[in-house]
Amino acid sequence: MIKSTASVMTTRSTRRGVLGGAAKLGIGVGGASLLAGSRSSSFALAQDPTQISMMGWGSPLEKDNVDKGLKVFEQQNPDITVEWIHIPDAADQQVALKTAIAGGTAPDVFWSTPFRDFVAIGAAMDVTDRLMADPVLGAPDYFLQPQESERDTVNGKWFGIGSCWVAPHLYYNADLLAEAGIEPPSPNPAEAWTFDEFKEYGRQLTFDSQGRHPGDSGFDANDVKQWGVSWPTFDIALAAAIYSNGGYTWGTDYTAGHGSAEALQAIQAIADLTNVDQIAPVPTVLEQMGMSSWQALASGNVAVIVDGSWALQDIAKLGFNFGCGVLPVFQEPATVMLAHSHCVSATTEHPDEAWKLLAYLSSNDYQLGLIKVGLWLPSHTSLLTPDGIASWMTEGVHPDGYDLIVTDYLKNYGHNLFYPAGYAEANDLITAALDPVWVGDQTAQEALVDSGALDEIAAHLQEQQAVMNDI
Amino acid sequence: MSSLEAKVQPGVAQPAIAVRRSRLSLRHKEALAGYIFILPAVLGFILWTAGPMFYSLWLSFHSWNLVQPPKWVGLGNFRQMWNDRIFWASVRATLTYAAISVPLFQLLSFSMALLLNSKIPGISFFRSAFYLPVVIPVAAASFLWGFIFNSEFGLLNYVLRNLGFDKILWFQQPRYAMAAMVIMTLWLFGGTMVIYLAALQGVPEHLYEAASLDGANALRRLVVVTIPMMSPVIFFNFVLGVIGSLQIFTQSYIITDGGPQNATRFYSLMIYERGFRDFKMGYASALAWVLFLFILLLSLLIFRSLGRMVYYEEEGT
Repeated sequence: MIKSTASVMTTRSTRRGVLGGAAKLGIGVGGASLLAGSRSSSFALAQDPTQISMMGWGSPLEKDNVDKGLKVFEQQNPDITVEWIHIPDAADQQVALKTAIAGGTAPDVFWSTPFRDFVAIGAAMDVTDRLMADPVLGAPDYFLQPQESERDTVNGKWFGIGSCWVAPHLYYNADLLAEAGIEPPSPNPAEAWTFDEFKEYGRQLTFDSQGRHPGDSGFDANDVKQWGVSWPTFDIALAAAIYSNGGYTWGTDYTAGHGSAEALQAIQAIADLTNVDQIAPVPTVLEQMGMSSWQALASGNVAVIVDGSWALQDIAKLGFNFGCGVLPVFQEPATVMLAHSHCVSATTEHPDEAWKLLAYLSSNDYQLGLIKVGLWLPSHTSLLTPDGIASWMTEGVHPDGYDLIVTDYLKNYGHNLFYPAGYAEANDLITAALDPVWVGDQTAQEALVDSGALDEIAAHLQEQQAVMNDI
Repeated sequence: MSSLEAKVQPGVAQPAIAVRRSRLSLRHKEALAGYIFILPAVLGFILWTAGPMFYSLWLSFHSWNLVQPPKWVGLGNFRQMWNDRIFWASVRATLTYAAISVPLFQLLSFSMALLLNSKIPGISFFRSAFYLPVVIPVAAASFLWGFIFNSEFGLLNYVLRNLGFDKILWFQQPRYAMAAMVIMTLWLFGGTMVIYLAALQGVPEHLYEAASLDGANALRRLVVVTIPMMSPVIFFNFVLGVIGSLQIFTQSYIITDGGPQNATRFYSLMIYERGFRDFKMGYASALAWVLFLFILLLSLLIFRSLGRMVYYEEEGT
């Protein structure tokens, strides 16, 4: 089961990852101490560049890109060197980060999702003044707005800057759709499938070993050869359905919107794809280990899947005929957008250098590398212009029309997925409450409302909000 | 006056070494050397085990988010536990797991040890083969099992479907998720099996011969000779098994993340989540101390009850 997080992580971790990161942290701290010691002489002070540290995560691909980016940064700023503390898995990185903060060895710059947890404990620096004074980043049209402000501000103050955006959308196996004579879903939001169309195409694309479709006499759901669709239920994919139906998941006022009629209806519709319509595998199956949804797509086990835009980098390498489209529409076209933020540590001894690094991490130069390979989507308006699109659309990675997913779908129909402080615990409660819904043991109403689960979540969120109000 | 000093005669030049030796007796020197030798271990224990334990005891009466100074909350963390639904879910999951896995694990290990105690050709291969899973890191094995138990595309359901059974939602239904956790644990019986095997080979042959002469069949010999003679080892493995099962963590952390419906949110996983994910170090410390005290009391109970049934040969002779 995927650990619920807004990260774009694609790898699971090992203890070695943490230990390796801790070792690197130790080396970094030790190195920093040595440097600090060497600066006690005025000679050394004149010679040595300032060393700052940055802690983040990422797949080998992401790490390589960061390595390249940091080299460029160091060339542009010869007076600064960056110790890059890389931990493969996002969840493990958060643990290592908290441990470093507790030990008084917080990195100068860190990555975080959700970053409000770090704001709540005073670990992230308020960078509002620096951002507003920056001639590039401070321009009102530099970022996609209002999503960027919603993501990075607490009570009007900026405590980080988003790395990029990612968003769920459809992927389809073009050969399977062609065999069934189905027109692929469009990347244009104006031409999106309705949810009913999505279900009907899903029915046509699902068949058992005898070639029977759901609804046909004798159809055996235990012996399905090809599933029509898959809509996973981790927080991001589920939120997209809820927003499309006019609801929301986590409100900026620290409320959980999962109990609204719109949210319950969307959740139930996703569960019914498996338990009533019989056109999708049990949603959590493709989130657990063994086979990812995009592997199932490439191997022909599923024809159409909902997955995050980050999966494009893996899907593009699998060598099959695929395409992308916008999500089917419940009431209105909608997706959710999110990604980790880069923050400056509140306790950094080098705020100017750390800000320079943060500003560089918010530049097109840095962002482009990971957009081109299909891991990220742009968060800067300059990358949505024709010239900007040309700078990142990559043949063999981005299928035809993918630019519309960014320039229209993301920009005009994307909702910032708000992550309240204490999100992980709240999401655990939601996830556990919804488990029986996915296997048809309870309805969404019974699992979330009648069980009292939402009351428990509301109490937790109120506690967190009280902390955040004092920021 | 020490015996060494008594031998020193006035007016006679003594070797310098004799004067130095007069300060410490051999016994004291040996003791000093001993303390120096164990000092690293003792210091390590104080710094890395006892110290953090007492610190966590102190923390368990505080609220601490890792960054701001700890705040005294008295018994607040322990009261919170009482009203915490997830706490009780994790207690239930952990005890259920322990109650099912420990007896099955011991039974399987012991049975396999009996089988592998046979003198048949190729027995070394089988012993190695059954031990092999133990050397695979739990994290790697968890990925392997994740594939096997995948409800839609996994190996196990593929086999079940071909045998005419419906697919099982291994990690979607609570009861099956617990079963999967127990099966994964049973796969690691090799380590305990080797201990049983070693003990089996230590049972004197003449006891079996005597029992046979008295007309005991194989089952009777197992009951009256093997099991009593192995009771210290069975007891040892049982106690360690109980303690280990109450601390299960990795499989649920990697595969199920505590789900479905908190069925595999084991106690150690909950401690980890509260401490390192939710910044509630005081609460996590309180949880850890409750587990520690529970294991301590349970171990004492086991020693007081089952411990009396253990036969120690030295006492019996």
